[in-house]
Amino acid sequence: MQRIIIGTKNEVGVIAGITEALAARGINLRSLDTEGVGDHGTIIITTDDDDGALVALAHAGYRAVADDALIVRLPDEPGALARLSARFRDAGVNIQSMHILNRHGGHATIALSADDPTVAASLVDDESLI
Amino acid sequence: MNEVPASTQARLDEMASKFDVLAERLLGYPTNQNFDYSALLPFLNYSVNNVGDPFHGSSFGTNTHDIERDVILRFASLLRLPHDEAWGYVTNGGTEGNMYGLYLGRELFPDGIVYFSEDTHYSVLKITRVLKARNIMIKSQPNGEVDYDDLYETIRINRDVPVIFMANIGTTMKGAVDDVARVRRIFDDLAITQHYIHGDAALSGMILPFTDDPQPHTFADGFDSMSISGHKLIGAPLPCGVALARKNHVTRIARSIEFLGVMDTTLSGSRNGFAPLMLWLAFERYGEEGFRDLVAGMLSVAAYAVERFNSLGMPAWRNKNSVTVVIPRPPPEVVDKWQLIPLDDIAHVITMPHVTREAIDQLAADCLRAQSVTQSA
Repeated sequence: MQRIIIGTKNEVGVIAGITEALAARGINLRSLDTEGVGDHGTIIITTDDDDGALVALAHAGYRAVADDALIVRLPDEPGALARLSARFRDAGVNIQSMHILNRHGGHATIALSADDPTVAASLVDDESLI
Repeated sequence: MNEVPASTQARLDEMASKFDVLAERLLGYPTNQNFDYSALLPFLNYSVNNVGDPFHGSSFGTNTHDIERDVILRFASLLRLPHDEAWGYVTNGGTEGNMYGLYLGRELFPDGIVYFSEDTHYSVLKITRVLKARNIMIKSQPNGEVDYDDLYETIRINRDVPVIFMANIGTTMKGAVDDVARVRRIFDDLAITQHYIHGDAALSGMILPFTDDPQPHTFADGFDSMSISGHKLIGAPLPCGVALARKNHVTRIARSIEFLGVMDTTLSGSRNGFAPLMLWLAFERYGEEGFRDLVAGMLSVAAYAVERFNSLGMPAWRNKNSVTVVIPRPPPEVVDKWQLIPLDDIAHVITMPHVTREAIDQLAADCLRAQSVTQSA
């Protein structure tokens, strides 16, 4: 079982929307945790069907990623992604993937994975959400 | 085979009736519903299989490789890829074409990073995962185009790594076209010599060639490969598409797999031999002028839709040369009725050839009614 991380707006009805999307495909929620910052939020769930949940959420219009991603919050401004990339380059850590989960209220929530997860986690320690 | 049992026929009839109703209200998906492929029905009596490279023949006799080559070269002409430099094949849809393009890029530059905007089709995330390609998502501008400043800065940080850029020629939600001329200037400014550009031209690859003032969208503009859908503007009733690439790239990859004894250049082995027939027939029947008229009609309805929604106080807009009209997200009952695709606060209407002004009027009325119900509640 993996944790699934969903970047959303921090507004009424989001959790209902997510649970409905899962229920419509017969997927059971095992746990749900939320992290709200300003007007955007991050929801972490576990289910009895990881792949099915990712598909259901994607079809319902949510951006969701599986557990192996680090989640960071950055200012939504020119060059912010590049500065994050630079940290990894300077530390000799290769970014495998870097995806934007959402952009609201002047901030962006980013999911990233790297070839050295331990060092990667230390590089984003100050901006990590999870 | 046995006769079709009555209960089976009844189920098929019921499905066809349902499709009759649904097809008329398909406003959110870019599939042309106006078509007639009855001339091809005799070919359903054969097992048609285009296994292998269409430019290298096959021992499976009932193939349509010659028609497939014709189709590829017609797309090459539209997208300004000289015939002697062109290679491609008919795919099972846009995703396979995108996977092929990124596969080529990854094979040419195994250490490269794939860059794409956040408005890129969701399947690209899956493709980069399948290919185990390093990838970085770049911010988009509000209109859906990639944010060139962010792209510049991110490439600059990784300037020692080859760039594989996935360009949108019409994004899924907003119909935005990434400016590859500007992307190439970024490569020049940063002295990036190892680069590859793939274009996802699923819908707009068959629109821009027929407009008077198109954005850069051809191989002459610097693309290395492109993917175009056949079931979208062309209106093939079965999902299909075309992967098109510069032949020299494919040849370099083919050399590395020649030891297998076959030119196994396509992603799929057995391939749909009926799809090239559909695409070829459409080219034969429309002709260049026919496609030009079709596109002009679609753009005209798109302009009408923007005007209609705005006149009713519902802000709507579209990108240049786009038939994708962005509207405020309607409530679920309207989304379901018209088979719209919502995302966050917006949804879109795609004015494919079967979408009439009357349908736009009805949708706008439904949206307005729902809006007034919400406000009064």
